[in-house]
Amino acid sequence: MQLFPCPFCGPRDEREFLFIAEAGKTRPDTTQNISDEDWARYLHSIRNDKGAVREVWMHLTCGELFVLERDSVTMEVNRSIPLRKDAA
Amino acid sequence: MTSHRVSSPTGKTLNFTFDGKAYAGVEGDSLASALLANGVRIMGRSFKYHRPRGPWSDWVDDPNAIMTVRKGGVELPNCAATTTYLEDGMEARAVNAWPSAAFDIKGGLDLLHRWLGAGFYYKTFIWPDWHLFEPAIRKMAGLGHVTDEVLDGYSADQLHDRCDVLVIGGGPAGLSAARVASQAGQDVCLVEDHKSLGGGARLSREIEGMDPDAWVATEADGIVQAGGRILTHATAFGIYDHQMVAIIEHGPFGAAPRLRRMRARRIILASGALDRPVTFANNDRPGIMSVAGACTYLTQHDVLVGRKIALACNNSFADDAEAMLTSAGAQITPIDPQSGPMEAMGGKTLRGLLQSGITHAVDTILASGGQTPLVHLWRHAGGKLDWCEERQAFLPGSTPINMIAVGGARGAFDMDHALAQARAAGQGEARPQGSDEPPRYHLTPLWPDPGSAGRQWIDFQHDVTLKDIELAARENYISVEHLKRYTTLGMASDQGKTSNMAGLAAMATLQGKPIPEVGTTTFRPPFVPVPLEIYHGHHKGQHWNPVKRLALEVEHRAAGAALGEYGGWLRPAWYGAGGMAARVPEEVKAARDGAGLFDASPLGKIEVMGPDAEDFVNFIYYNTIKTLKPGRIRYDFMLSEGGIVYDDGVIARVDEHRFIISCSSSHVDGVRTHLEAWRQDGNDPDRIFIHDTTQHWATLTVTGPKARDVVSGLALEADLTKGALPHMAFLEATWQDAPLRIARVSFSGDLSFELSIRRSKAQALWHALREAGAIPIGLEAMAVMRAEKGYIMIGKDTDGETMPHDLGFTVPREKKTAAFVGDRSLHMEVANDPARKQLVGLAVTEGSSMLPIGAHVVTDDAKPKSLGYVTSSYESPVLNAAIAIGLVENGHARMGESVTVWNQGETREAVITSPVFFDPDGERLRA
Amino acid sequence: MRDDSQRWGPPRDRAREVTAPGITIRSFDIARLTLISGPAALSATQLALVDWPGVTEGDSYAISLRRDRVLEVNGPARPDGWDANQNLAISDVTDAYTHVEITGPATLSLLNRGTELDPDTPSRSAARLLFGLGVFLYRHSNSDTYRIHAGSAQDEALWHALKDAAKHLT
Repeated sequence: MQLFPCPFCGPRDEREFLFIAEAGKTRPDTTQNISDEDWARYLHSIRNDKGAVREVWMHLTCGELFVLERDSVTMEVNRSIPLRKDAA
Repeated sequence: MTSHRVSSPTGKTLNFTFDGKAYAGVEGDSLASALLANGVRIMGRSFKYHRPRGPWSDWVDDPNAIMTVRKGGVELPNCAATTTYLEDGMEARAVNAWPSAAFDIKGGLDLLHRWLGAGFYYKTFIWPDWHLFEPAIRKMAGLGHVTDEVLDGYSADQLHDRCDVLVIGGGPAGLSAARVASQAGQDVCLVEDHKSLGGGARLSREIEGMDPDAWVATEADGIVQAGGRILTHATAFGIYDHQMVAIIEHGPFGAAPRLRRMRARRIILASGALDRPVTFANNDRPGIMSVAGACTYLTQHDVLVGRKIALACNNSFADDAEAMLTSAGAQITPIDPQSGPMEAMGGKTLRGLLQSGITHAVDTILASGGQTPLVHLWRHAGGKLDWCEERQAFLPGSTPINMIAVGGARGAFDMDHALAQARAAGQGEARPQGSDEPPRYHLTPLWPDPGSAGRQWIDFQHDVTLKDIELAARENYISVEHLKRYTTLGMASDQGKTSNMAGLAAMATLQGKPIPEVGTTTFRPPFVPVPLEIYHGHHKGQHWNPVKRLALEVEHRAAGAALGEYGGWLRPAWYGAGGMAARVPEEVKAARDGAGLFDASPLGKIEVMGPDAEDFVNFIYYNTIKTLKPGRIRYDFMLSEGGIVYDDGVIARVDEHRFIISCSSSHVDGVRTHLEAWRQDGNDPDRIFIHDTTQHWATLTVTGPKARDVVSGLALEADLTKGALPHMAFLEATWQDAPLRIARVSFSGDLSFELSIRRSKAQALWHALREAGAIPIGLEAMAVMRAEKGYIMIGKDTDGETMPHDLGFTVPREKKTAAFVGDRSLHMEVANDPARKQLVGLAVTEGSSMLPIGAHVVTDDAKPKSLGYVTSSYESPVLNAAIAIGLVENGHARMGESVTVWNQGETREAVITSPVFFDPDGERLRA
Repeated sequence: MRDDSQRWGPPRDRAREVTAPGITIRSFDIARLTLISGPAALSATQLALVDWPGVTEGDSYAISLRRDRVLEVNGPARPDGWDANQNLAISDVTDAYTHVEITGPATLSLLNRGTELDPDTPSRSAARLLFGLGVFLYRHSNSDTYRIHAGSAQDEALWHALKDAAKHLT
């Protein structure tokens, strides 16, 4: 059972987390023209890399969305990167 | 020879039976050691040929002595006699043997062995149909039987634990590593699967100048004195991600074991090594045992397994064993297994060992083909294996994170090397070498010899012989994973602990490849068989999938509710006696004529607040929300980015910066997560906040033509008239000093008031509304009413392809200018397909029965093709007709068309209509 | 639909306590719970903030839930809705939760039946999964007394999970 580091809460059991998406995809501006191909790529194109991956996860108990860098083969977790900063 | 004990037992006498015959053992015995002490060698029968079997070893690697054990009303199947500690009053029976292991009537199957080789079942029973043979074969297959008895209180404790250093194995290496680590201030836990510590120490005459027992006690004391923990009779059976180690802790026979999920910062694997069998003709006969097993029976249990012993050993451990057994009174004949093919003579009783034309008259053969390190857990953790030519064994190679192997598990078979290595690991060294001295342990490679004569066993329990491996190779099952599945090699309850190395070495020889190129099969948890109960634990009965409970459950029960699970909540299905078929129409009529009272509390109440709330909700939902005015409500769809309808619900706007989303009861968690993800990804999370307040509220819906009269009975200071509070409007009032939200939202199609009040006030509101004349109605009545009105239930009347325009909601797709989730998908080719399935009503001729749910609307071709299917179907008590709604290809353009409905071979006629059967003009709705 | 009324026992008597070696489990009530979110919510409350493994005390305090959210326990009355002056979203959630207090030296051992809980691993949030249920968990008064808040509708689930786990304490 994996331990994932929530940027706010610290290490927690993997069951508290939900995979959201691979990191790095940007939603196209749908008020502009987007080709079918581009939209299909946004929807369905998934790298699913073997080895080092960057993913967006949600820590369900606190709701935080963050980027997780881990290894999809060894299950080693390298680090988590908050998408937000604490209020000053 | 009545007793094989070399000294008079001092422990407490324990009486037990085996296959109906009474025996006595002593405290500390296993079933196997007690039987061996009584001169009993045949403890089971092999799986396929029913050959007599006696224990090969003394612990988890024994594949032979499998028993069903009964004591005190508890019967457990598939207990290994070698690892089951003897208790007074145990009744043991051999599995796969009747009437007893010694006289098994199926023993004759062995005569058919020529026709029962690997692949026999696959080749023989494929024609004409496996299913003809399956019942009879299934009946013969399997080991042991599970009884129908339910064991009261047999519930595994499951707990989480943690430590700095987990040491697996309580032999010399494990003990010394644990002692050093705990004395260095680490929080140490040592796990040993026997009840007593020591492991391989028992096979030594002395350790570091001390008597082995005294040395073990000193080390153990050192661990405990330094604050370390020692768990005995506990087996680490699996290593999972991030150093989560599953440990099963055994209690007395019949007590449910405990699962300890140990999170260790560091793992030291000191699981030792096993003797591997020697492959020769009839090497499966009772009385042929591992060298280490025989020595353990002697030192641990004072049991000398034989008097005239042939020692067939290819490695340097033979000398110690010979000395140990000789001093106990045995007569040893050393045999060099390499000097010629061997054959065991005799049947149930071993008569001798034949080699090079000479028969050695012995009663026991002890064999060892070398040491095999126990690397299972190493592989669970992702560690690699390297082939060691010198030791002829796979040793732990590149290291998984935070784990290290020491001692026999790492090929350090000399005591001083093992201890030095273990202590360095205990100090925290990452790759301790232990010693620069060359190992004293040495062996001559000894592997199966394909093509040699005689029946030579590779897998004792599953009756896989060398000939089966040869056959598999001829038929090209040469990958070890194919070999395993074709021959069932290593698939017995010992999971190949004795057989895998011999099997893959034989395959290597057959292919002319070195052993490491053939490789091993995958090692998976559990390392030893564990009862499923340890995975089960408290996840049973109501904890299996606990339902959410309504604030008004007591009131519902008092009103005679039949409760059922709906979307994770326990909710009233209907009320009163007489069953669903009688009660539901009555409830529908009561609501349609007067006022029904419906508990809608599970409906979501998710608040979206903040300066960007309006833009955000407008982006999340399909309909335009920007135009929604405070005090008003809008019905809307939440789509996935693929444009598929995920949820429907109503959105109430409280003020400029505050919305309340009322999503489907079963989708609250999903909707909240969906909102949270979009809030933080692509929006400014400092300007949008989402509060799920669902469980603060109870919601009671009063529905029916008299609903306004009922709600007026609450004497609220609120104007409930149609003008002040029209359909799809809401207001906030106060009742008994508590805020009361009143929403004109209707799922029944009739005049409805949805009243939401804090949970603690729900009982009072329920009673007040009942006194004012509302009649309780359950979910089933509401389901009929909403279908009469053509209102959908997401997931029932929609599927994984349904888009909003399929449901008749076309405007935002065509007109909404702002971006929203799923927008672009609504204009892909698939979204414009004229053959899309669309929501329609399906009317049947007057007086005919309802269409079955799931029935298909089909073409009239010779081979009918599905055009869609019925999603909801009911007898409408107010329309006095069967009604149905469904999804049908291009349905909106087919109004009035007569179609064929097919269900399980029968066809019916139906007419495609609007899905709205009741109050099509909405007069009652807007009353 | 099947009538499953008998499969699920009627709701428990909340006044009844559970005792086992080293623990007592009881329910308790709270007069007001206020959910407060905002960019600076953690500093917006005047009450003492508790997270893990902190120990709070008294009747009034605030539970740290996430980067931008606290739950005030018996805090000042605040109107529901968006407070544009303070940049706070506010909801009265008094009835949204059920409250259980467990006290005694075996409490941590009991809770470790339902989650991986370690006082040496601090967390800025008291929110976590316990027996698969979303809860807020922290210590109150002393290091052997724990308070748990779970969803009101999950009172039965939490209580039975705790009660059954307590059977394993010896």
